[in-house]
Amino acid sequence: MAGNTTSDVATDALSSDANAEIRLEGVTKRFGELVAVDELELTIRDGEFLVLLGPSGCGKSTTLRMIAGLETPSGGRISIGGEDVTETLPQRRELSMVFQSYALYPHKSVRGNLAFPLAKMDVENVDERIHRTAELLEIDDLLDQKPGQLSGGQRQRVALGRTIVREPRAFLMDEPLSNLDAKLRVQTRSELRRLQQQLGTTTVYVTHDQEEAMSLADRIAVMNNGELQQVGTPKEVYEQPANEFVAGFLGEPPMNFFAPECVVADEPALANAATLGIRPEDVRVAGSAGEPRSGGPAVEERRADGGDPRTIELEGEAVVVEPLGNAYEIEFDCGGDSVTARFRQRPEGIDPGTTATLRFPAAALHRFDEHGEVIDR
Amino acid sequence: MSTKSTYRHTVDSFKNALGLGNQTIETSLYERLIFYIALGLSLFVTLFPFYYMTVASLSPESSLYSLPPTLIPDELTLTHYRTVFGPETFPFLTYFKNSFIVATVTAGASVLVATFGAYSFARLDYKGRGIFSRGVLMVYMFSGILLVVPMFQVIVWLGFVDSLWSLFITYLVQTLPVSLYMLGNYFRSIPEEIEEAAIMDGYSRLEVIFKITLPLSAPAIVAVFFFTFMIAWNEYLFASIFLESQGVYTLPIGIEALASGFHQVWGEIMAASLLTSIPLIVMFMYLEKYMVEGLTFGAVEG
Repeated sequence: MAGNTTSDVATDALSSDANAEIRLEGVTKRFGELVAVDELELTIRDGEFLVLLGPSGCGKSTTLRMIAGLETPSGGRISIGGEDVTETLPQRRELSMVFQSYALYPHKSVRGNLAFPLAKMDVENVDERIHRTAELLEIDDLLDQKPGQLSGGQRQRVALGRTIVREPRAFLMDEPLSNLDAKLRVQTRSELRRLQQQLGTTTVYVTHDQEEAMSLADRIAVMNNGELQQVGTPKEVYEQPANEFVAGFLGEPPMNFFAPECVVADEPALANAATLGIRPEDVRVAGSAGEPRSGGPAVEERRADGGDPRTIELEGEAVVVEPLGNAYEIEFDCGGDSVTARFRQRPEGIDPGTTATLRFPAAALHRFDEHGEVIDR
Repeated sequence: MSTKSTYRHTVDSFKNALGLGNQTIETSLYERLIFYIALGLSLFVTLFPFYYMTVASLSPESSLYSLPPTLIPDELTLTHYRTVFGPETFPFLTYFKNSFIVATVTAGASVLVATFGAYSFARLDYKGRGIFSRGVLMVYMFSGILLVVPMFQVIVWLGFVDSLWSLFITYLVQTLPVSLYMLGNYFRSIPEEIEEAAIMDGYSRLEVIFKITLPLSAPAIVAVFFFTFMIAWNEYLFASIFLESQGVYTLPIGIEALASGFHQVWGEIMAASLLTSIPLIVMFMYLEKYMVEGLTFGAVEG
């Protein structure tokens, strides 16, 4: 993270193809008594697609709006490409933003919407740029229509187009897909990813949807209660969550948490943990035909790395059996803690009311201390 | 039939009759009958004075004073109109011009001041904003007659007695609260994100107001202009107190002056009254198309 020296950044900022590394240093935002963002330290690398992920009210949108300049931080510094922009007006930051509601200019045609940011810039080939952008987003046949005549998906594209057309230093996106229906959302998501890779523009993307975050991000920054919980690649935050919050927020169904006392065998290695966590896909039923091997590739990796080779067992009573089409989710009651397991095939002989032995490799287990922080194995 | 379904029925019948209903709902003859009676009654109450004004302005002197009054005239005449436009009895054109100047200038100034004031109430954050915005509306609660004496003092102090300036200032003060209120509410209905998008696109706050907010607020601005114009055009109380010489009279007091003469001039008064209402009607019909709602449609999702 500290690889970029100050002089490097300064030279890059002067060149035309400026470095657009966004750096937040101790950024805090207070609304009266409420601390929306607390001492945030985060660096968004040049050309990176970073997703700010968290539940609503976690401060992710406020963070984005502070980067945009629409909110002024109560403390800390924000720099873009090495240039301190903490006090810079939003219109001078050369960033562009897609809003959740799209915020198109309803009185202007699609062409007018795309031309609006360009009118403020010193560019000559306005028409050419509009056409290139419109073609890229396949909205070139809509240029003379007004936003009111467009469908939700088309409006979304126009909003994206307005962001892209001015070739800003960075894209800021505030839940831009949340108003689309499920099918269109998945489709637009992959297009958005492709587009960003094609353009290579630094992007900060806010969402509360973990699936969206996983599929889009180079790195995910998980936030809660105004505090940064963890930054890492989607793989890192999923497989090596830094704390109970991240572990529980990512994954569908979320990670199971239970007390160490629930474990049947007396395992001294688990004794120093306050809470244990296991992902539903790592849980197997002992003696079931649907138990080829326990643990995903990550667990295998950890085992190979000299991780704990033992198997942990839990006694549980099946409570709910949920068929999902491509999988089965079964909720077990293990001495008061609920443990959900996810199976490809329905294990034989498991019905609500039956007791089964659940087992999983100790390497798949996540251990947390009394503050919810992960204990390194 | 429960109260709720009766209510629903009534609402739907009204919608259908006004062409607003997007589905056809069966209405019984009985329901329609009630509806048409209600409609007829309200139209009669609203339009009868206008009708009689028109009839009276076109009837010859003799039939105006006959008993019982004739509602359907036997013969029509334009004599009253000729008298009204004839310069010797009634300087209608001068009054008209005065009224027009005062109303236009007041409406224009009210829109201008209210736009900036309302924008600050709706969007900007500063100390005392709440007190200001509510206080302004409080001023409107005072009846005009309560303010006549203090206002007159102010006008004397300003040296504007017997000049159109006195009316301009009074009407501006009188209409601004409502203008601010109307425009402020409209500005609040425009999604803030649209303005933020424009700011992100590189525009300053002032540029955003002129390029985005005001074009989107056209319906409200037109409504405020029309409302202020109408108040200034029809105002009687302050004009009757502040103005002394005929040369600066506005239409309402001009007509009143006509009535206070000894001779019977009802025909002329009605003709002048009708001519006074026509500009407002024409103006409304012209401006109505700008007042349609839904300009912001399509800006934001949901």
